[in-house]
Amino acid sequence: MVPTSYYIALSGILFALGMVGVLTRRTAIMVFLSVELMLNASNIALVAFARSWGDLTGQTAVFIVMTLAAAEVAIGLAIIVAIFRKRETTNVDDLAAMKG
Amino acid sequence: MPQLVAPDVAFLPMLPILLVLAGALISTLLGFWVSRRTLTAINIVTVILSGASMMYLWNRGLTSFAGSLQADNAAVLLGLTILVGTLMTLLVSLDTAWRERVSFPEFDAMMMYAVTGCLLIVFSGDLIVMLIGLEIMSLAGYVLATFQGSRRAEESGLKYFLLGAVGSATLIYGIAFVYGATGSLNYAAIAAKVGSVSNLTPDNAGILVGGSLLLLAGFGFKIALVPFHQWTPDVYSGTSTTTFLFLSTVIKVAAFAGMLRVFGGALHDAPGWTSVLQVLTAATLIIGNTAALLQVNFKRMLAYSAVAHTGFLAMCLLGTPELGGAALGYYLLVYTLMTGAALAVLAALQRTEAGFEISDMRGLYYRHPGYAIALSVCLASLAGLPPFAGFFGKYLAFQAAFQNGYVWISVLAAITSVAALIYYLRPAMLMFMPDRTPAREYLHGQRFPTTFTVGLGVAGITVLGILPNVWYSWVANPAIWQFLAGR
Repeated sequence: MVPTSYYIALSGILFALGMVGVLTRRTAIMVFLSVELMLNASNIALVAFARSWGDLTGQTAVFIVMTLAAAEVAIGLAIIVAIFRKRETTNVDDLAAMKG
Repeated sequence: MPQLVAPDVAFLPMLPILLVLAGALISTLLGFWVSRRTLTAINIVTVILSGASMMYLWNRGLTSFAGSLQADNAAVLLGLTILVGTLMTLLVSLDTAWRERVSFPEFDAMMMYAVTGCLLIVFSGDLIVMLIGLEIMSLAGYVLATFQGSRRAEESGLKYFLLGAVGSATLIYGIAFVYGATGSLNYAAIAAKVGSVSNLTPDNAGILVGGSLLLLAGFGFKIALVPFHQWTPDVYSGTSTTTFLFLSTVIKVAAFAGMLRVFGGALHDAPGWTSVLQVLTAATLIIGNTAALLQVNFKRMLAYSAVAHTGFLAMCLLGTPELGGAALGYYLLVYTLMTGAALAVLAALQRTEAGFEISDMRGLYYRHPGYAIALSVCLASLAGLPPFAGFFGKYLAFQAAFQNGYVWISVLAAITSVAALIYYLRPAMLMFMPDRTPAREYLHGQRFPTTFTVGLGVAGITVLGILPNVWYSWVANPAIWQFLAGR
């Protein structure tokens, strides 16, 4: 049996990759994809912990997180499309009308 | 053949949430046929009914779904605060929504969905219910921020969405770690496990610390704690002022209620998070107050003042649950009333969505005497001057942190309050200086629902300031805050 720590290490790497993506990517879509990576990192962690505790609660929580991620996609893409229609760009650096 | 049996669900503890949800569904469905003003009137009625049902739940301590949903007294008090903020937003939106070009039925629907999420957080008894509530609230909030469709609103909506989504992801990762350390998602079970160190192996203790810090960061995004506050000024000043009112009162109250449940209840005995929270609170107090000092636009200054107040409110979380919970319960209502009234005045008088410059407020008293006096009362209360309620709220927050040993935070908060005095009182003074140049505000801002809201806020902060016990006697009972995690 693969030890739980391996799964947690994998989820940690995924989460860190997602965080790096959020901080370095300049396109709204790519930032958004990185957030999805972070969400899936937590899903892996939840499933791995559920296995090590022999408890199903963590696995059911994963379904809820997946649903939330889907809802987030719906809202997020709607906002990004609305912006793209008006400005023909989704570069987050161009969205700097407000500063200070 | 097996008999079909309806699940045994206690609906009574959920009644306040269900009533608000009914308002949201009515707005969604009837929006095709009736005008938005009718829907707003219906929603005001559902909010009042929801408040009445909360009063009914007072002292009953009911739970539902095996403790996943708890309608204890803490939930009732914080829920009523949320409903007060919602009521103020709905009333103000009756006047200002058409000027801000957000007068669609969807605006009401989204707002009521957000309130449903807020109440779910307040009534939550386990991390998953809290998460669902938080996401309903946040997703509806992203839409509200973008609603206006102007360039500024869209920019503010995308910033809010991207940073809010990162915050949610961090929070979910924190939930996974807390689950990994304790093997449960229920607040009471987590608290029982965390309570005695012998239950946790060294490995698990490390995971628990990591999880609670991730949760803290996730909540930090929602309540605008420095360094997770960068979205706040842009989102608040870019979106329509009515939405600003909603986001800075209702959503913040709900996020603080979630923090109180998680950190005051479930993770209260967990190691590590208090030392990080005190550093973040200090940073919030310093950065929020100094940045507000530098603003020239009144709307943006109020946005930074919301960040500064996050610092004062977070001090309550550093106290013991008994003192800190009571302080937070008092301060949140006062904060809602004074911020709501100040933003109602701004929404009524602004010509454009950028709000107005502080220098343009010169002589406001001679053009709109009622609003000018009301706004200066709100600003004095926000600055923490007696006899207004903001003073007593700050006093309770200082006391909660001080008595739990965070002396330096209390001293720092007192020093930054002096800086706050400067930026709150400068516009208040300008308003009473004579000025002969023509008016720079919208002249027809004095309509009944807005004046009613402003009157409600000003009367609230004056009465609660002179007679704090009107509200404090309800929240002061330590028994309310002892069992935030449930029993």
